[in-house]
Order: sequence, then C-alpha cells, then structure tokens
Amino acid sequence: MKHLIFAGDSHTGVFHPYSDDTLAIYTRGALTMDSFSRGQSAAYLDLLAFLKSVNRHGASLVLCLSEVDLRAHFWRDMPMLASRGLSFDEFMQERVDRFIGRVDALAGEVGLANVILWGAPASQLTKDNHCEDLPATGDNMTRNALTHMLNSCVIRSLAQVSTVLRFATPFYGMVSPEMVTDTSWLRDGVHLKFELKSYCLDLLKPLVARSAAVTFASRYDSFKDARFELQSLARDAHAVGASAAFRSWIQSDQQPPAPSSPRLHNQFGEFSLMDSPHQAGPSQSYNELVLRRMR
Amino acid sequence: MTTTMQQVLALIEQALGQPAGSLDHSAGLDITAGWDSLKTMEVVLAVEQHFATTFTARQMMALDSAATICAALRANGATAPA
Repeated sequence: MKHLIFAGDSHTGVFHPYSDDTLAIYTRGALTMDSFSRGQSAAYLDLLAFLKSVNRHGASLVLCLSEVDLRAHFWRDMPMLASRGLSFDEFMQERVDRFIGRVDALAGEVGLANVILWGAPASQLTKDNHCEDLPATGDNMTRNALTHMLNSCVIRSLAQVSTVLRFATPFYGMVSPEMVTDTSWLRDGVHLKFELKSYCLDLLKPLVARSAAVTFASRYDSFKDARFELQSLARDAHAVGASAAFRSWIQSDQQPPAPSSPRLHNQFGEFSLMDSPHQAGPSQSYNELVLRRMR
Repeated sequence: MTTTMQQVLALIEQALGQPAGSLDHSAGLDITAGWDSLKTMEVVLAVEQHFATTFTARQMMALDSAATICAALRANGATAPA
C-alpha cells in the first residue's frame, strides 16, 4: 500500500524516485521552517492545498524542512538578538514551538494521523556556496551546532506534548565530534546522496510503524549533552580564500562596514554582518563570531 | 505632518525598493512582494534608526508587518519625527 507522502524543500530529493510505498512527493525549492510556521504564508497554504488533493487516508507525512533556516537565517538573527538579551536556547525553542504548533495545526486540518519531521543533514562546507540568494551564514561548525540545538529542541518538545509528530534525522552519522560535516554523505556538497535512500527509509520505518517517537543515526549519545559557547575566532583571510562569499559576523571595530549592514555589540566588541570577510577591509586577518562546542 | 504608519511604510518601501506610496497598512512578510525574512532585519533596523528607539529581542522576533512594527513603536513610546 502506498502510504508515504514526502513534502518540503529540496532535501526531499533523497527519497526520489518513487518507491512502492510512496504516495506522493511535493518539493518546493527554498521552503523554510520559518515561512511554513506563518499560517497565512504561501508556503503553508500551498502545502495545505497539496495535501488536501492527495489520498492521504492512513498515510504518514514526512516533512523535510529547516535546512534553509539553518544555512541562511538563524545565524543572521541569533547573535543580534543575543546581544539584546535573548539566549540562543530561547531563540531556538521559540522557533521550534511555533513550527511544531503549525505542523500540529496542519495535521489536524488535513486529518493526518502521523507526521514525521525529517531533520536537516549536516551543513555544507563554507567554501561550497551554491546559492547566492540564500548564502551560508556562519561557518560550517557553527551551522552544525545550530542543527544540533534545533534537533534537541524538537526532541524536547515532542517529549513534552501529546502530538502525532515524530522526528528522524541522519545528522549524527555525518558530523564529527567537533561538528565538521563529513561530505562523503553529500552528492553535491549540500544534499544527501541518492544511494542513502534505503538508509533514510530505515530511519523512518519505526516511526511509520509508530513504534518509536524519534530515530537518529548512531553516535547521537555522544552529542546529546553538548553545550555551545559564542567565541570570537581569529581568521586569516588568505586561508579562507579571496573568493569566499559566505555571510558572517565579522569584527568591525577598526574597519567600519557599509552603513546598511546589520551590526551588534557584545562582550567581544563591535561586529557587522558581512557578505565576505574581505568587506572588513584590507587587513589579512579578522575576527569572526562562531559557535563552538564547550569542552 | 505624517503619521507613524506612513513613516513606517515609507521605510519599508525604501528597504524593499518599492515606489513611494505603493504600500498600505496591510504590508507584511509573505504578503508584500519582495519582503522576505532576509529583508525584515533591514526594515527593523531602519525603523529603529528613524524613530530613535531600540526594540527588545522579543519584540524583534515578532516584527513581521507594518502593523506589528507600529504596535511595537507605540509600546516603546516612540513617536513619528516631525
């Protein structure tokens, strides 16, 4: 029986092509968790209309969202909000609560008895910047730290509320203890290899059968109590590469950036959100805000 | 003299590159063309500068429309510059 509906961003790709048990796949490019969370957004309404159009009786919806938020959005906002008194944990929990509330509402409206949130894979390496519209923000280890924080919030929320939601993620199989992405899992630097489809479906099986609430790749235990701290890390512009066009918070005490750049002041000094470290000026070294695992 | 809403709309139009007077009070994220979450921060910072106010982190997380920005300005006691 066809009983799986996959929906979300381009990370639905690993579930292509249709298997015997695939009822439908809905992919919408840069769909974000944030836009989905706003109930009147086109992102939400379009997915709602799609789900109403398919025969969903008895089906499980696998929702693939959050990679774009983790890649492009969260690190743009979090340091600024933290400098105004909001903790990273509070930021992430608020985002997750809104998202889970919206998914719960969707499940109720459409009549879905089982919704599985499919977690984002480990983030692309900083030098692999594929998308100019939604550039990677922050370095690879920072974005992976955010991914773990998001996963933790989702797991915590699902444990606390009665819901039809479940959660699976391949993240912990493809990230080092230092939070560096193992790119051998990726086909293009961003998306999981198609060969991992069986592995991913195996992660989903206990959730589809509703015999578990959460599944993740091995090694989760070594991450579950990880704590993170904000650091100002000295960088060498030569080592990063002149063509690196990632967005990040760069210290700007000596080299004021363009007036329109978002800026913040924290315990390390003045920082501005820049599209390239070279925007910081002619200096060959600069400081960048990062999240690092506490030892 | 222009109202707070009119001044907020002018700042949004400027940030989004929209013609002056093209937006109304219903402007918001997901509703107004070109206003995505990447633009929100730019809009919010422009509003802070123009009205000489500072939003809290909690306020900033909720600013997604002209109406919510005006409400936050009212809560901060910020008034439209002459």
